[in-house]
Amino acid sequence: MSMNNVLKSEKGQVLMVTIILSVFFFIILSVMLTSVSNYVKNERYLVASSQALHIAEGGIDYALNQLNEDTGYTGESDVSLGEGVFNINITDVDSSEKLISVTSYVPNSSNSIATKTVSARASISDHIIAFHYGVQSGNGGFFMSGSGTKVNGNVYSNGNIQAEIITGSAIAANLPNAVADQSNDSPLTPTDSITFGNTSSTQDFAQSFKLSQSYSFNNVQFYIKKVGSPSNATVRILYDNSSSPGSSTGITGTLSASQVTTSYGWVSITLPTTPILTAGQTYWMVIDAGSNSSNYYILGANQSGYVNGLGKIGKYGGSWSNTSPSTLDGYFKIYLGGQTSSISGGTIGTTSDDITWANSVTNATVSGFLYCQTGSGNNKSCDNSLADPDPQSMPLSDGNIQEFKDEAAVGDPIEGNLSINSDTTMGPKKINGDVSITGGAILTVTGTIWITGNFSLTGGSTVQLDSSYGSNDGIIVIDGYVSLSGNSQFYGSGQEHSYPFLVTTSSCPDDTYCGNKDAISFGGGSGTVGLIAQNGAVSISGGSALKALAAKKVVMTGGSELIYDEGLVNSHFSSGSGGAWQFVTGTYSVSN
Amino acid sequence: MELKKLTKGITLIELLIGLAIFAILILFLANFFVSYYDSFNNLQASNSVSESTGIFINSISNAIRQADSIVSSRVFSGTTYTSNSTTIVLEIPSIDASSNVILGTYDHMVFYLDSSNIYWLVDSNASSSRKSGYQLIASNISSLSFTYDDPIVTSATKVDITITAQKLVKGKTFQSSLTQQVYLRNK
Repeated sequence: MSMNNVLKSEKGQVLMVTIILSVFFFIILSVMLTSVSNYVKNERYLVASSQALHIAEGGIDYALNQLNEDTGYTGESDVSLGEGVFNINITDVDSSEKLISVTSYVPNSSNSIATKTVSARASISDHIIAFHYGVQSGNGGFFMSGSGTKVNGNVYSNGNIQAEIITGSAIAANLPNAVADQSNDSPLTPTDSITFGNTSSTQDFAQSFKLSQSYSFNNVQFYIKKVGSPSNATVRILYDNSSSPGSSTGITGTLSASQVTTSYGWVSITLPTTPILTAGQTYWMVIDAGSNSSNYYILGANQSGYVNGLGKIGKYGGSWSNTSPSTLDGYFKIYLGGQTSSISGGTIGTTSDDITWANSVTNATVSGFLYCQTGSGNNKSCDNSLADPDPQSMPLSDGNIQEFKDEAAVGDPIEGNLSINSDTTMGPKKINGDVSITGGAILTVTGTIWITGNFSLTGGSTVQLDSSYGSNDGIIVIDGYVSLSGNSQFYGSGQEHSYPFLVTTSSCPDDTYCGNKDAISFGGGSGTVGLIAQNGAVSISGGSALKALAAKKVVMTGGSELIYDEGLVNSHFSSGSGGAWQFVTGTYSVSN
Repeated sequence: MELKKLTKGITLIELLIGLAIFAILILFLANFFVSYYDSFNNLQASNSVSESTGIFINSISNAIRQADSIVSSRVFSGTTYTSNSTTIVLEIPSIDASSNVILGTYDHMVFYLDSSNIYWLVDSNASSSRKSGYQLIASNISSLSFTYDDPIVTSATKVDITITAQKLVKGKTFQSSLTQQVYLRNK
C-alpha cells in the first residue's frame, strides 16, 4: 500500500465517529423504547384486565336478571358491554340450583387483550321438610268419626287417637306437659349470643340447670340459628362435676340442623327416653356439635339471665371454659311431664307389619303388632314389651315458617283485604289482610304467598301450583284461620309429588279472634293439598280428600279421606318460579 | 516530494480551531447522553413503582373478592401470620380445573409486608387446582395498609387497601399510590 492511500483513508475519521455515535445512540434509544413499550403493554393489560373483570361481573348480574325473567334461560354470546363483550353459559346443578359462568373479552373475543371468567351458583329457595306420617297431631290428639272416614297412611299423635279406619300404623305418644319448668328467654331479642361448633375449643355449648319438680324430662328448646350448613348436633343431659359437665345421664336427643334456620327461632329437641331427674340437683345440657369454621351454630344468650345455672363453652369429653363474657346463659326452655295416651276404636293396619302402639288401647281391630300397657275390647292382647312411645317434633320449626314468610315478602305487599273472583296468577306476594277466593276462580300460585289475615276458598274455587314448580311443593302461609268449603279444589304443578301446602300459624280456636273457628276447617272439596296448623286445630269433614296433615289437634269426620304420598318423606318446598334466583354465597370464583 | 507536501498542511491556528470544534461537539454529545441516561433511569423508576402497585392491587383484589372470610391467624410452614394492617390472611373456596368452586374445601392465602417487599403465600387444599407457593409480588413499598370494616377481622366483609411504592433515583423520589375497596363476594 502506498503512503498516499494511507493518508487518503485517514480522511474517513469523521464518518467512523458518526457511525459509532449513531450505533450507540440507537442502542440506547431501542432499550428505552423497549422499556416504554413493555410498560405500555403491561399497563394496557392491567387496565384491560380490570375492565374484563367488571364486564364479567356486569354479565353475571345480567345473567341472573335474565334467569329471573325466564327460568329456562341458558345464556348467550357476544353481548357488548362497555369496552368489551361477554358470553354467558348456564348449566343446571340440580332442580333448584344453576351454575352461571360468564367469560368477558376486551376488546373482543377474536382478538382479546384480556379475558376473565366469573362463575357463581344461583339458587331458588328450596327447603326439604320431612312428612313421615299422613297425619301428625300434637297434644290435642287425633279424632276420627263417621263411617268411611279413613287415613291411607300412618298416624302419629302426641296425644290420644280415636280411630275409624287407618290403613297404616297408629301411634299415640304420651302427652307432653305444655308448661316449661325452666326457661331463659328474656328479653325477646337476645342481648348476647354464643357461637359454637366453629372451632375445637368452642365446639360444644353447655348450660347447667336445676328442675323445680321431679318429673320426667320431655323436651328442651333452644333459641338458635345457624351459619352455613352445620350437621345435626347431639343434645346430652349430663350430671354435674365440680361446676362443669360430668358423666352422662343417658338422655340424648338430636338437634336437627334442618329445623334451624339462619335467623333465630325456637327449635325443639325431643328426648327419646324419659327417666326422672331429681328436683334441685344441678344437671347440664350439652349441645355436642361438630367443628367447622364456616358451618356452625349461634345460640341466643343474655348475661346472668338464668339464676339456676350458667353457660359454658368447650368440648364434650374435653375441657370446658367460661363463656365470653363469663356470665352468659343460653336461651332455652325445658318441658317436663307427659301423661299417658290412648288409642280407642277403629280398624288399624292392613298388614302384619303395621303397629298400633299406645299406653292404653281399647276397642280396636288391629292387623299387626299391638303394643300397649293396658288394653280391653281389642282383637289381640297387649304386648307390653315396649315402653310407651315418645312424642315427635312437628315437621315445621318457627324458623322454617319465617323463611317462607321472608320469601313471600319480596316486593310491595297488597294492602287490605283481597277478594279474588276471577282467574288470577300470583306469587311471591304478601297480603296485609284477608283473602277470599270465590265464584269458581282459579288462583295459580307462582311463588310463596303470605296472608296476614284469614283465608277462605268457596264456591268451587281452585288453588293450583304453576307448572314451573315441577316436582316441588308450594306454600301459602296464613296468620289467621282458613276455611275451605263448597267443593274447593287443589292441584299441584301437574308433576308427581307436587302439592300446594296451606300453613297457618293460628292457634284457633283458642284465640279470641277465632270465634270458635278452627285454624283450618275443610268442609267438602278435594285435591292434592297438605294442611299444617301446628298451633291450632284442623277439622276435616264431608268428602274431603287430602295428602298430609300436621296440627296440634285434628278432627276428621263424615267420610273424609286422606291419601298419604310416600314422596312426602322428602318434600321439597320451592319458593316457585316467581321466587327470585339468588347467588349462593361461597360459590363465586374468578379466573383468567 | 509528494510526502513532504502532505505533512505540511496544518498550522497551529488550524489545530486549535479543530480542537475547539471537537471539544464543543464532545461536550454537547456528552451532555445529551447524560440527560438521555437520566431520563431513561427516571422512566424506569417511575414505571417500576406504578407497575409494582398495579400488579399488587390487581392480585389482592382478585383474592379478597373470592374469599369467604378473613382468618385471624394461620400458620404457613411454621410461621404464624396474623391479619392486621399490613398482613391479611384469607380463606378462599377451592376451585376445580374448570375454576368452579368446590363446596366445603378451602385454600388459604397470605399477603404480607416485610420491610419494603410484599410477599404472597398460597396454601391450597389437595383437591384444589390453585397451586401452593410463595412469591415476591411487589417491592420498593413504603407503606401498605389494610383497613377492615369490622374491628373483629373475621367478621369483616370489606377491606380498604392503600399502597405506596417509592424509589429514589439520584436524589429524586418517584412515587405511586393506589387505593382500592374490595368486598368479600363469598361472605
